[in-house]
Amino acid sequence: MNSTLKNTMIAVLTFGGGTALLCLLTFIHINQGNVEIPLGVVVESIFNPQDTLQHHTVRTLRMPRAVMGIIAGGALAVSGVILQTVTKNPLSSASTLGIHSGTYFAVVVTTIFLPAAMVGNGIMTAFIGGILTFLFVYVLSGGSDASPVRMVLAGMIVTFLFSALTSVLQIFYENETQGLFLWGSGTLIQNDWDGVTFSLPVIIVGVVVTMVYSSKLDTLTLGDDVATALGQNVRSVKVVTIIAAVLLTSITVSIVGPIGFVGLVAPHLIKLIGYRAHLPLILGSFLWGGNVLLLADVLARVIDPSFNELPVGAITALVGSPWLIWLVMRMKRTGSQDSGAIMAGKNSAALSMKKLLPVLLVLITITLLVSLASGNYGFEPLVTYNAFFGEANTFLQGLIVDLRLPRALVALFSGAVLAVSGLIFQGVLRNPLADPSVIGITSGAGVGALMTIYWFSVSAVWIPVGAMAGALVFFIVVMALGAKAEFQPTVLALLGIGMSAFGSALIQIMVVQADISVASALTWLSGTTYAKGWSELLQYLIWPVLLFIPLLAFYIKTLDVLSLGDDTAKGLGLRVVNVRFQMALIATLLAACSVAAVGSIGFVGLIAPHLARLLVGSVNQKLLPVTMLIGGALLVVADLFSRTLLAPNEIPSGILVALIGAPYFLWLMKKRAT
Amino acid sequence: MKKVWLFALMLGLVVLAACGGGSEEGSESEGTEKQEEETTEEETRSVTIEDANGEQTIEGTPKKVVVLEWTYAENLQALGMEPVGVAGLENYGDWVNVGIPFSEEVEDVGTRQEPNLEAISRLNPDLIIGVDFRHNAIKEDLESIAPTVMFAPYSEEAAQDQFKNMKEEFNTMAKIVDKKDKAKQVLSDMEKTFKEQQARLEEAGKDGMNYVITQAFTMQDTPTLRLFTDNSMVAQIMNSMGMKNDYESEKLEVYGYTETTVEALQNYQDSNFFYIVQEEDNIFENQLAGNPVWENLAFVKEDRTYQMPGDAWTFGGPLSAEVLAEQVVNAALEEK
Repeated sequence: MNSTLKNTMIAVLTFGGGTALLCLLTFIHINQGNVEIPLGVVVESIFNPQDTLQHHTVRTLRMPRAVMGIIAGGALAVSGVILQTVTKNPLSSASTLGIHSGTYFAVVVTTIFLPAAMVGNGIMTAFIGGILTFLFVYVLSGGSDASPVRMVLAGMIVTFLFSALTSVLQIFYENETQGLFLWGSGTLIQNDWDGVTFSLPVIIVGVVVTMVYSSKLDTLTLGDDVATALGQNVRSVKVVTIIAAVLLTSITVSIVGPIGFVGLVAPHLIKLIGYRAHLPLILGSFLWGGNVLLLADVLARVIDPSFNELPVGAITALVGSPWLIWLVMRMKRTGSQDSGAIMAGKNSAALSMKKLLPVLLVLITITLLVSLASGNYGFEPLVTYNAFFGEANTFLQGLIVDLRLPRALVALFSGAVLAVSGLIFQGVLRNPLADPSVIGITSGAGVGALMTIYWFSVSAVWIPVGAMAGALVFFIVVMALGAKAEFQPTVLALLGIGMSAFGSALIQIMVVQADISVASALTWLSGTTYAKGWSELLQYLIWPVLLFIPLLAFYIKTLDVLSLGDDTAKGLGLRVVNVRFQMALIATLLAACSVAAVGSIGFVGLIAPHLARLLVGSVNQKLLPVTMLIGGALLVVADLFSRTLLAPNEIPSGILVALIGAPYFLWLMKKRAT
Repeated sequence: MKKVWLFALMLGLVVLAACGGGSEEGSESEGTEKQEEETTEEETRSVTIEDANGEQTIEGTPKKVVVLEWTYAENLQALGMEPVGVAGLENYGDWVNVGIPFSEEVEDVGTRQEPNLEAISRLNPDLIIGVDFRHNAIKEDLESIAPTVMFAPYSEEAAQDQFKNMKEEFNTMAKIVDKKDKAKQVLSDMEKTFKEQQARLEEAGKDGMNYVITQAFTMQDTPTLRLFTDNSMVAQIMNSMGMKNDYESEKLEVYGYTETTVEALQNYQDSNFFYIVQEEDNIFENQLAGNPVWENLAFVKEDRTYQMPGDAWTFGGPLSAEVLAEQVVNAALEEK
């Protein structure tokens, strides 16, 4: 009796309280706007509408926005429930599985190449893009056997890939995509009821389908075998519900843009309350999803009441990412021992260093020479040769020595530094996925850099100092949280994703809040070798190389010992905790130096060590020089293309690295999955 | 070895430049006109001007100028010159139309945000004109190519009166390229145009119109309006023709406008509503037609809305100002 009473109370609070909160939030929401409208008039406009401007403002501008928030939040939450059940993965949601980036990419592609197919806000395109992305991520991460973490990582890499592709398209087709650019971060603004009337039927169909299937989803949670034994067609249930989930996601993307984390947070709220059966889970998630999104929108406009409003997606990320971190920490307690590791290079060619190093050095020299000889007018080796050794063409000589050479060297050094940082992180954390950007440190550097400008309004000279401070703070947070989880690879990777999302939300908020002084910081943040020269090289890149690399050359052997596992390492007399901290600190400093010089360029620190392992095996002393050289070469090539492909316009080299890096990484994942 | 020397040299230059800048700071307030040192011989001509980074002296009379921001390209055209390179050349015509097309020889030097240093360097210019908020980060690179003048049109000081700032920048440019007479003429032509246009208004009995003027476009799928404040060039031009701006912002808007939605318009229903829209992005026809919040505004109901074409560069120089003045009056008189 007591327990039924308790259950009833919970149900009343969840649904009744949720509805009450929704009403309250809606009311606050429609009272926000550019024009002061007295409370009485707002109320009157709802219950006793008249043909006055203020009433129309409430009824055709504000109400649709509120309603859109509710149904979009609800739809995203329901799709989160389904994805979590079907993939047996508590971390699934449209954003963590990369579906958002896929749908957005599809919309951008169609806008450019097939504008005719954009009928109905491009819902069909978005839908197809979403389904394909889901299948892509699902297969890559190993299908139904995939561990939660693998799947989320695949989703993250796919997100990187699609964002890079989207950016490239936006650079090539600036005019066609101009209107789409800001929509990419998600906003609820509505001009009238069109968005609601368009999406509501689809959302209703999607939610009703999932409700019809809710009991079948219940059996699915018992495992595929049990479900099959109970006479259920597991495959058809999965297919139908996933189609419904992607449909719900794509309709929201096509109207309000990609809004992350609602699909992750809302279902877990309901699960926390104690609901396991899918019918109440779906209904509750819908209700609370609406609450979460509406609250985020209210907050966004409290933080910035002007029209330059914050994309609501930034707020949901800001609120949602700590949730992700909390969930991850909680997973550890349930004892998930899944390693999620994709240690590449086990079957390496193990080439001898004596042969490999000269080959690499020659390769790098050639790349550098090609880079020096290439410019706005393509590849001109003869002209370059003449500039140096032929007739005294001082002009071209100056061009090469002052512009191309320092820039190529900056690329070489920052690539090398990033790669080493990645190598150390991978060794220290015994985590093949560790990389300054994956564990969230580069994002911290970005936050630090922007904060120095925005809060202390100091000159750009201090940006690197801020970057280092930010990187260190994020590093300490990730390490402190990671220590609780004994630095489990999976936990760290997910913590990094959470911190990165948190960092980029902060960055987005600061960018919207601050004015144009941030413009220079923005180009810098996107990760670019544009206009980098001797000063960057000498200020941020030379001294870490001179200081840390020799140190590492002697010290890096300890990483081999660490890789044997903590107990063995301790047995061998290594002070594990100390070593780990010192090494990680060096890696953070290296990463921060590179960020200070060229901004956040991802993937180099991830890929270079893996490639190196493929070549020389897993002995760190061998890996160090090889990784450096590969990382450097990678960025030199990216820099070369960023200068020349679209000359005189630039492509940020960070994007080019992602375009090279992401597919390689996915291939690596796929290889290990089979 | 060469690198080291080069670096030492550059470091030396940077230090020198830094010292030089510091020692001259005190005299900045004396204005731009006084420190002029012009000698009679053309070859050794040198001018001292003041830009975002303080004072600097430019030797000779620049002939090959690379311009990294549209406004200054237009200024150069007004002075009867043509830049050798312009950043963002491809889109220039969409936004700036002063009736003087560039010739084939003008080169594109990349985007305005990230101009291509190599392309600039290849043109071997003897002057580069940039803008502080975009090109501050590459200042040293630019200076290593050619003397660089950097304007700061959105500094606190310049933003107080953007029209005045525009004229100052124009005069500074004229001084550098030795076209002060031409500049005087251009500016007086501009004033004359304002007078003529005002006369047209008076003739039609529409003088002293009160107005709100906006530049409108779609952002995030939403009709977005920039309402111009009195410190903006647009409002200054209209005010100098005897019109009166009804829009006032609580704080100083450094760009001269507040960005808002259609909701805010209901505060200015007694005004005459001027709007600048691009033809393919006319939010008032595409998105707002039939919307009761728009249709019920007094100036819409009473047909006091005036459309202006989209190629009026509201952040331009004297020629753009003339174009704007004409477009305002054309719109007010509803003539094409």
